[in-house]
Amino acid sequence: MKPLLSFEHISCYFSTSFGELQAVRDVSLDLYEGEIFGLIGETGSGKSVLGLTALQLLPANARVTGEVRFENKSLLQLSEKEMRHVRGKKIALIPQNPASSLNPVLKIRTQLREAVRHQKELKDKDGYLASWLQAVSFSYPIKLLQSYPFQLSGGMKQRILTIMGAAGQPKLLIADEPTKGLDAPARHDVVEALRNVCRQTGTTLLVITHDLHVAQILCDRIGVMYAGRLVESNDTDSLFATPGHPYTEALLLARPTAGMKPMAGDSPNLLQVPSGCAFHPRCSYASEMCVEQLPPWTEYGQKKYARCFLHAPST
Amino acid sequence: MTGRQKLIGSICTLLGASLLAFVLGVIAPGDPALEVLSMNGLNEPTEAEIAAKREELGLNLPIWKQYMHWLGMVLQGDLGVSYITQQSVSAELIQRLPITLSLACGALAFAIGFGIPGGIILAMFHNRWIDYAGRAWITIWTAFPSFLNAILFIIAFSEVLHWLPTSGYGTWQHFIMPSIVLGLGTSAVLMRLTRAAVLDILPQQYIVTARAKGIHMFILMLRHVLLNAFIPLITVIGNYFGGILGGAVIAEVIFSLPGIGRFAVEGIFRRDYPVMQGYVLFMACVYVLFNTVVDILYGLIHPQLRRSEVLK
Amino acid sequence: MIGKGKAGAFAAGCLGLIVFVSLCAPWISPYDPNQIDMSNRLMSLSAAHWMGTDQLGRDVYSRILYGGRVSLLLSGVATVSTLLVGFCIGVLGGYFRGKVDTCLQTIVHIFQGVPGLTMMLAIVGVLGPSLKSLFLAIVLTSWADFSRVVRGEVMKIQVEPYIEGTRVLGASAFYIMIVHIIPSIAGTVLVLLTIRMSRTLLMIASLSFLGLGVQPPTPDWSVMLNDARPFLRTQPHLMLAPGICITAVSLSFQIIGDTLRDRLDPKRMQRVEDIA
Repeated sequence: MKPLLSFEHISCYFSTSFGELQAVRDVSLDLYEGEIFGLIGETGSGKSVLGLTALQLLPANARVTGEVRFENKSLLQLSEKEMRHVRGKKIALIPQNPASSLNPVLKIRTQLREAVRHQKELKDKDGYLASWLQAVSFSYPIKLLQSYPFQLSGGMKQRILTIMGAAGQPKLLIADEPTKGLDAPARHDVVEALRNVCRQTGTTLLVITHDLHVAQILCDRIGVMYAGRLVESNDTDSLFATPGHPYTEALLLARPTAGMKPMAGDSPNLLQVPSGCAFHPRCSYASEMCVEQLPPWTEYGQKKYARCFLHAPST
Repeated sequence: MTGRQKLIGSICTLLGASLLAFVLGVIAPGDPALEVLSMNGLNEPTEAEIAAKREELGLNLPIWKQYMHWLGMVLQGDLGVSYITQQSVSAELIQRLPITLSLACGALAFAIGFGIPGGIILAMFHNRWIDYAGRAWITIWTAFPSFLNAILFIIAFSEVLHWLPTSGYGTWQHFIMPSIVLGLGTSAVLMRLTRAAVLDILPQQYIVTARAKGIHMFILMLRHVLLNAFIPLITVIGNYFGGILGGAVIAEVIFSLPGIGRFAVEGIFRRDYPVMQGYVLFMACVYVLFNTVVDILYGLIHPQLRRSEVLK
Repeated sequence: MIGKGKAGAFAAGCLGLIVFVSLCAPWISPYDPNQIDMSNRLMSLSAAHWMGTDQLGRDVYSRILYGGRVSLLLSGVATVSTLLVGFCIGVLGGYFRGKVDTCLQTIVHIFQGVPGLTMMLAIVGVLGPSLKSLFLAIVLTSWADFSRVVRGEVMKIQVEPYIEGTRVLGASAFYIMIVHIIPSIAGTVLVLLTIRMSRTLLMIASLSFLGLGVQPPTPDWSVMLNDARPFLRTQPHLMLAPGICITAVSLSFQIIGDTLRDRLDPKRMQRVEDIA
């Protein structure tokens, strides 16, 4: 099966006043049509940056190397104008931070219509949007279209943003922290909305989240990032049952349901990432080798990958 | 603030301005009774005649009664009679008002039409040479004396290039140079504010959202960036219009435009106090009216002010 | 930003030089600035008269040296006085709020309801052109803007947790004002002061140009500009010399203000942008 989107050796650098900072380090990842893939990791692990490289929406001080292939086309080579035809139409974004992701001075209707602007065959765009809004359990869609963002709660805004990504019927939907800052009922609404959208239309979904629970109930496969590197890729059930990387294991143990065992050590400083395996200062399995060498990306089972010497063939 | 509070505020400001104008008349040197008598041809009136006139004009009443009386007259459109031209002050001012208004509106149009697009361009070329040059331009024009500017313009465009008439009044060409001279300082300030506002908005999350939808750059700038940039801008445009209205005097004097500012300056030299009072009142009215219009516009752009209903 | 600090330093140096020259004018000027010599009217530049002579045969160079004294002193004194009035009223309103604030705000609104130059013209017109009425006109037209900025700053700082904390600890209003509030708005006020200096100078110059400010025969740049108007074509340097001086001072203050604004917290300076 051919992947819909593949990241090939993606690295991403930001020039800051402290020097150049590498947010993403040589990440390769394939996404297949129709699946829901979760990308998890703590803040600063590079997961959101990786998502935005596909759309070329990073800020001006960012530099990307590697290749992003979408339907066998290379995306990083496209001009801004060509990219405009990909954005929203082929690949859509559900941005993070619903509070600031909607334009405060424009009606919801105006902002949603921009997302379906390219669907020329659609006659009744408002009706179409209303049916989408109903699908994510809004009871008064027409009234909602006429309202402004400040009149809505955080959960409502996030659902609007979900529609904004999905209504354009893209091939791929990138959801960046879709549940950040939401309370439990709102989070449930958003997860339901995302799942329904993808299952009904067969849209491929890349969910970027730090919420393990959301990843568990929503995703088919999950990738784990740490300090800019992909450290594990696994299907959801086996990741939660038998995590392949010590970092994933520590993450799982830190969950409230697992006893909230805190992870040792501090989050890595991106300006001074530890040598070898970046996780070694916090890892209970670490050896000399982890300090000196970067562990290889190893397939240790059926579609189970990890970047750890525990699974490396030579050890 | 609700519309009603705004309206009350505007009325208060106007009443206050009328009080200021009234006080001007009170502290002005000279006896209004004498002035009126001499206007009637009595150049050496007797004590009794003066006293009678004072009584007739109500100058012996307590000061607040005098104010109420005066305010009543003003509200009926009677601003008194000019000591010099012996015509009704309000008629004189109304006749000249269109000229001052055209000049001020021309200046404002130039300031907005030049300042806002300029600011956007500077923001789009942030930290490139256009931006640096633009910022130097802004600093120079915010600090440049407008009368000097007017003189340089006359030399350049009228006397050397012969493109525009030097001074006077008649055709629309007569308004070009005064409007530009008057609006140049404000345009520089608007340019700086627009640049700052756009630079503030470009990294916002909702701009990323809009770009992610693949909309055209033009629509992005117009609908998403500019509309938001207008919110901080529109409030200051109201303030700066005051500067333009006040500064109109200088342009009117240098370019010999017969507006109310020049009339007031002539009045000052001839100690024609009713004209000065009328001038202050007229300017305050125009200014307050303009700011009311700006408030309405602000409400139209800023949805939060328009409706506070929250959906459930 | 590159070069911004250099521009500020250059402006400060330029201003310092002008102030120094104005102070020392009696000792360095070659002629008495008011010495009339009708036989040497409207002379061009020469070794005896570096910048020529004006329509009354007075030495332009000497008049230029003297010409900043009145305007600079007046705008300095007037701006600082305005600042004091506006500052006190702003702090009072911002800190005590309630009826005191409502009352003060109403007065502020009234004074802001009339365009600045219009009010100045009217005040000078009624009181007659003199330095005293110029001073009064400047203070009366500018204090409201100052107090509004100061009030806004005070209100913003007041709700900061550290002020609330101090209040909870039992600090008096006076103590909070002196120790916390005044130092934290000092930066804003400083920027406002420099930018306003530039504006005040321009306003005095404008009024003098209209014949309502500094009165002839005082050797003042704006008076010189006005005197030179009839000789614009034949003797442009008569107008150019004082014009350059006024622009240089106004520009210097503006650049210094901009530099300070960039150095201090730019976000906090938003209010200054609104009026300056």
